[in-house]
Amino acid sequence: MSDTNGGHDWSKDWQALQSQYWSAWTDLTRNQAGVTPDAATPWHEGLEQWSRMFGSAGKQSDAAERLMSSAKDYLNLMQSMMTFASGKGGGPINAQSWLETLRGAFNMPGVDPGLMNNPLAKMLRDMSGNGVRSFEQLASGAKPMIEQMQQEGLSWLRAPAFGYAREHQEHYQKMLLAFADFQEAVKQYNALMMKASQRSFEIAEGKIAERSEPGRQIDSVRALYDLWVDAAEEAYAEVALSEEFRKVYGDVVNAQMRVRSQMQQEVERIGVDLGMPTRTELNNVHKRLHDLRRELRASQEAQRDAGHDGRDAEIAAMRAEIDDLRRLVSNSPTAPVLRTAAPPKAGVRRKRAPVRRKRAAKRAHVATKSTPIVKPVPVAIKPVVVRVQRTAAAPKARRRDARRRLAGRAAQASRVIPAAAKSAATARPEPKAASFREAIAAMRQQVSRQKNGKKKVKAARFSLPSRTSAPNARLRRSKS
Amino acid sequence: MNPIRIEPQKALDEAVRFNQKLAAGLKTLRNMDEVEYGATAKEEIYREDKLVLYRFKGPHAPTAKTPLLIAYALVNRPYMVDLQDDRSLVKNLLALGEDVYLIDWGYPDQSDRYLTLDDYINGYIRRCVDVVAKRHKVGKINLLGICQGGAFSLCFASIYPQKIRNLIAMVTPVDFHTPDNMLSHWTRGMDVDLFIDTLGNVPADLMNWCYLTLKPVRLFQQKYIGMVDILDDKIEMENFLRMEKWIFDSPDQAGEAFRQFVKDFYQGNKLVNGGLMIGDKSVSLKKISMPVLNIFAEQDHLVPPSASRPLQGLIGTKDYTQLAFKGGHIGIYVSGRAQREVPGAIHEWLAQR
Repeated sequence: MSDTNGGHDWSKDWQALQSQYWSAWTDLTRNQAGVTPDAATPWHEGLEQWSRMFGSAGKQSDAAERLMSSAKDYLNLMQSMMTFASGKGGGPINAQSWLETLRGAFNMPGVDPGLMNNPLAKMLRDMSGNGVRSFEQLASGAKPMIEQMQQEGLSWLRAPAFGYAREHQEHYQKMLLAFADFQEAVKQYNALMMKASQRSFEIAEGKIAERSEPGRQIDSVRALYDLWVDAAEEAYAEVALSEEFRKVYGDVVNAQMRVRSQMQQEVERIGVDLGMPTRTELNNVHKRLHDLRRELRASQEAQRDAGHDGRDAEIAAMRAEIDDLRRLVSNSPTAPVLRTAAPPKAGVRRKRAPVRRKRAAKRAHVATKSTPIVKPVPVAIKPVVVRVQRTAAAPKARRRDARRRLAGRAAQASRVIPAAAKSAATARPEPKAASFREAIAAMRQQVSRQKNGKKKVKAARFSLPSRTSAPNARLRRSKS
Repeated sequence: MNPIRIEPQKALDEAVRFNQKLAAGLKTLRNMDEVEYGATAKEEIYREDKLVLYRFKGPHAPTAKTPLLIAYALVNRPYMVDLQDDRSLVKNLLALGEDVYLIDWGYPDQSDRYLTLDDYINGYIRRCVDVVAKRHKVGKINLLGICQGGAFSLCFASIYPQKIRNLIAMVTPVDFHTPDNMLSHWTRGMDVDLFIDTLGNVPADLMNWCYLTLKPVRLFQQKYIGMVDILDDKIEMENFLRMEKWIFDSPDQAGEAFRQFVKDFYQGNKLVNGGLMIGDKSVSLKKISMPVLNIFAEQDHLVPPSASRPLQGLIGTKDYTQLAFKGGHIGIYVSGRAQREVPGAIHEWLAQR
């Protein structure tokens, strides 16, 4: 099959193959479309026909379109190699000469000179999706106007506007300047793409040279193509990661946005004249709606959280626990304190002290129970205790006034305070059962002591042992 | 020695074969049905605006006590994790006994333009986490964030550590300013305020174009030349087209969320530098106290491994595991190697915690 004799006429074989190929295509597709091939680029015509067949296919047409574009470039590469080989007498292709030829963009049938000069720029241009394409079309529509202005100089666009249509004129001037800036930015971008393209050839040369060793030589067009792709990507990455590219890329994007923005403003102006709703108006509506929804959602969540964030459940659980503790303590034979919290039994006389303790405990309990949202305010409680101590030696009236003032102030600050103030007024080191948790902890301690048979329930009524009890106990132990 | 030894006859044969494949492709493509995706049955659990929370149904009841919620990126559709029967992260996780949920963000339109990262993270993700936790009567769930969804998950875990038992970050960018991060490099010259003020939402076409330009020759040309090789194979073509559909099935990006993401993450690199606020809540990776599994792809051109690796030094937990997958950003879900390695690694890691 393979004939590598130098004297073989490859040009004739090539022509024959092209004819064969085209015949096969027309046979295959004659029922689909009757298009006369361009004899110079039969490969392309086949692809075009293939593309046309899928033009109305819809679901697969995107893939077909992308395939077309890529396959065409790939076939160009194949054809360039064949053409080059046929001109060189049919021998193996010389890499250096082939690359030089590509770089020089000789007149290759069917090959877009842009592809040879700047394949990356061409590729990026072809990549544009619908969203991008529409803008490109728009920009290209304005190109003749911009070019004319550039010939005349852009200085007049910066001239001040005046008269009745001053604002309109200013707007058009801005829009045209934005177009001009965008074109300039694209020019800079294309220059960098050209740089990447040139660099890709340099890298490809290096990569090809590395394959000179026997066994590593490139023996297919596909392998050569893959190698060129690697080189092109490497070159592109070098450029794309440079500081210069970052600036140029940013300039292109920003310039394009300025043009779009100016055009949107113009469309809006026309829309207003025609009584049409505008983008700005719709945006405002969306924004307000969005803000309202956020507020509504936040409000709903706040409401729900107030009822369901676990505080209710926690309080219920604590109440249940308190009830359990009460039952436990009331069943205990040595439970003078907590028994006071239980309903009094008829006919049973009690000592005064337990009754006072019961009331104080109840006050603290009710205060915490009735103010679930307000956290215990130690700052507020503290001054109460201090004030009472300070006024202990004062005249009666002064003490009464102080108590009134404190009660009034505490009532304003928190509902916890009056109870605390009242209990503080007993001049007794009352336990600071400022929350359910503390109350329960105190009760647990209480039960624990009772179980251990401790007699000092008086000192440990609700909370911690007194400051003196522990050292005294140690002292007693050491003496004994 | 001449490095190119392409015999002309061989080149001609190659050209003929190429065209024969193309001719066969005519028949293959025209006889193909619309490709479908999604291999695993799922039920809708919760819906809010365009978001839908799904629970996947496996062949057996899940054995895992703690459910796993997947938060995907906004920039592509989440069915990548359940693309087809033999390429499904979800299916494999279910087979291993995990209970898998997924957030589908939907397709934002202009009415969603003002959605912010606060809405996405403190709103949508939080409510989805709460819904899942409530269904399972647990206080904490496992969260698996992918790509941009991984960055969201990091923020969420930092703000609500009490809601997350274990955190898995897949191909998640953390340090956005590494020298090989092309996407980040480009966005830093952009005036993102002008960009969003002009565009509103960011069109999907523009996003796709941007991604393709990261590797223009490979992604726009070489891939389709490779496609010719499989044009005569219907199954392979279905796989190719399914992937193609996913790649270009991109939702528009809600403008305000995009603005903040570019400003705070790409430009400000605030996950590393600090100072990131999501709504009124501050994000510090040091607050991430739960166990973390970080999975990244060694050949990832969108989120280079160098962008993911720094997570280890930035989080508050000492229980950190790292898995470097041999593959790319997409191969980590759909390649054969991924099916063998990734779900098993996730399941095993979770089972140990």
